[in-house]
Amino acid sequence: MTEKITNSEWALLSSSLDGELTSTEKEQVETLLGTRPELQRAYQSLEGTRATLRKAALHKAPRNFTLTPQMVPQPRRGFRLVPVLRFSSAAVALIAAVLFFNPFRLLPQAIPMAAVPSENAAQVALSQQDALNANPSATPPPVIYWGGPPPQTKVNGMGGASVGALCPDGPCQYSGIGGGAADSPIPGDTLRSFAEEAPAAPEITPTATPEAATPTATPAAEATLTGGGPILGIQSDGATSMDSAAPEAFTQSLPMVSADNSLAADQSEKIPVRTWVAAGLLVLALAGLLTSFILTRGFRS
Amino acid sequence: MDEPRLIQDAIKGDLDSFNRLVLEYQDMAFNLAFRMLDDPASAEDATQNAFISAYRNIHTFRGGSFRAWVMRMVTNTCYDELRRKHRRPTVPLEPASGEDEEEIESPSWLADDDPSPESQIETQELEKAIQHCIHNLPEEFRVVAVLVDIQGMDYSEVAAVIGKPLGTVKSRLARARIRLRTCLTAFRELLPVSFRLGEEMENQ
Repeated sequence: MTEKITNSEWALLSSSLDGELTSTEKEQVETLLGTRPELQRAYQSLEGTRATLRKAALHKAPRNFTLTPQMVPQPRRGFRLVPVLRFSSAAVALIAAVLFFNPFRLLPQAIPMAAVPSENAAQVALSQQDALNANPSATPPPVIYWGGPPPQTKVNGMGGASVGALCPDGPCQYSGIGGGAADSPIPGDTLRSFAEEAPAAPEITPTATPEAATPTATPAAEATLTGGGPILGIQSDGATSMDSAAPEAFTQSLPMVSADNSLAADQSEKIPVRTWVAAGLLVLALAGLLTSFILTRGFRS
Repeated sequence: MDEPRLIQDAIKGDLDSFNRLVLEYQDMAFNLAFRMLDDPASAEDATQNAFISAYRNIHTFRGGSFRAWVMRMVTNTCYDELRRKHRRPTVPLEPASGEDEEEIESPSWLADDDPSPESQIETQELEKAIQHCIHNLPEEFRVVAVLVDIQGMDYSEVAAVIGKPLGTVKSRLARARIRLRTCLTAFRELLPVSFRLGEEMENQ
């Protein structure tokens, strides 16, 4: 009975012709050839095919294929610039894209939206200050006091001292509205001891908060607000007489607003600068890419 | 020929050293290209391009059989050429005039003008039959059969040339030989008596 010869058996027979078998495979082939006549015939046919192929002519080269320097020109030095230019162009374009689509722009974008009221407030304060300085005798806006007539004493501030209390450095000008004790002198040592025992308050510095920082048209001007009434920036009737005499005494400077205004102004200046820088880098990247393209074309030609 | 030294000099850029290696292997390279492409002109171009590529990339040679490395360059160049031919097949050159059909069927203008000795007739017939059968093999079988059965390379070198394991070489060679055996059987009557395969071929 003749069995079909498998691919592995063909491979064994073929390798056996070239002596490319291990000792185990040799034994296996000898066993197969001794037991299966069809394998022996296949082996002989492969041997004849191989012998026929070995008789094929070995074509000689019709000419020499030696190389000349013109065939293999040495790479020119400038050619090395091409990958450098391409890489730098890609890097510059990436930087430009990052600058242009900066994720940190979220912060400057949030600032102008929140900064509009603050800017308006600063402008209102400045306009009020200008109006007060220009015409001190102008009629002040009416102030409504809730819960009774306006106090007849001095303008009361927000401090803790009571009316007529003595401060360490002399008579207190501002009596507290809330928390003020009876009009009794407070020894300076007592206040000083309270100040020393109190924990040091953290230093508050002007920061760019969404509510405060804003770009403004007058960044350098230090806005001041005046008024001693219960409503900041609006003078009460009682304070008007005093303010007319010495308005500077009730002037409250607003360094917070001033700092925020300057910060906002910086932000408003940085955004266009960054955009310009991004555009410049983009132009630089395009120029580098164009140069590398021209160099490549030149070397190929 | 001090091949390792020539290789080292060629790596350093010495073109003369490389050309000595070219002279050593150009016959084998051209023969492989001719068997692969079945066209002398294309084989010439492929051989020249393979040596140019070999010189440009000789710094990638990491030792071992330089002959196998060069043959690998030739094989890859032939594969590129075959792919290019598949993409843009060429039309064989024929006489412009179609008046003489007989001339087209047995083109005398293609015949070799050199008188062939009687002793070379058998070899020429055998050569045509072998080339025809080799050309009908798939490309991956063709290169293995040419390298082993015509060039006489061993399996490990062929494995280095085609970049495949030894088992793949054995398998491809066996399948190539089976196909060649079948193909050459069809040429049995054309082959000289001394080259005819045995009767056992007909029984397979």
